[in-house]
Amino acid sequence: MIDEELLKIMCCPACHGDLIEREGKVVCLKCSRRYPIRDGIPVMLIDEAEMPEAKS
Amino acid sequence: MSRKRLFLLMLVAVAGIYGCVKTPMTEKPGNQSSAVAAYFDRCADEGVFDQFSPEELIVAKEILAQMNIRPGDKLAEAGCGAGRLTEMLAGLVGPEGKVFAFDISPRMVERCRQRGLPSQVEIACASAIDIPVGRGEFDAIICHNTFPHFDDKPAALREFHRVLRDDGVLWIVHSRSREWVNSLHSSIGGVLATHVLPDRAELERLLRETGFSLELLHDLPDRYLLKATRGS
Repeated sequence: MIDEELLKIMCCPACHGDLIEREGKVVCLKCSRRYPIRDGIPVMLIDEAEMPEAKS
Repeated sequence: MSRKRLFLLMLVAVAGIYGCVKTPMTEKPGNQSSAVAAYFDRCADEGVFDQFSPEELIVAKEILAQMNIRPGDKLAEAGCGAGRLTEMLAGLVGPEGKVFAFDISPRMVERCRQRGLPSQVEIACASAIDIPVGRGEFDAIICHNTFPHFDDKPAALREFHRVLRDDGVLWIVHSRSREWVNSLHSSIGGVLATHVLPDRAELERLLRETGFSLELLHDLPDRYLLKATRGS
């Protein structure tokens, strides 16, 4: 779980869409990119995001 | 503190940074950003930027006093490293304020988290080229010892312009002179060889082209302080 305040401040670095936390990832509601959370810290790097079609 | 002790301290700090760069590369080759992240990951593991030296701490406090940060301010720290300045910023903005501290190096960010900073600090692994924050969010952005490391400076400045409010302030600060910073990076070489703090004319041009106006620039042996204001 990441801090709720942090989710409120942040947006997707690629499309600036709103974010939610789902299944241990930060997910963009607009472009559906999924950003990993490592040790409680969101990794908001576009290169590290999973695109929606590349489901793990 | 005696000159001899000061010199020894500097030597230890520089040796520490050299130690980082000499650690064998184990990361897969990637773009410039991931090479920079990998470099600072190694620094994080060696604890190079965990604490200020006593001299740097004095300068950091003086620089912060000049920034006139008020309780309740919302700040972004672009390249928070291990959080040694973040901690001081958190105290200045207080519980009503906010410090969004980010860094491209995952292990630096982890180090910052381990400090157990107060709840006004929010930490993320992020790039200054693609800041994961909406428009007009911050009163000020602070680049402390980090601006030379942004490989696409116009892109970083455009992002700072986007996430700052109208009349928001950008601070580019170093705990040494521009000349010292640039010669350190070129002597370390490797990924840092091209990490230059531009001269005044070049910075003025970059700032103007990205919607900032230069307000102040002090380049002294023990500090570098640049203040630019975001135009609307």
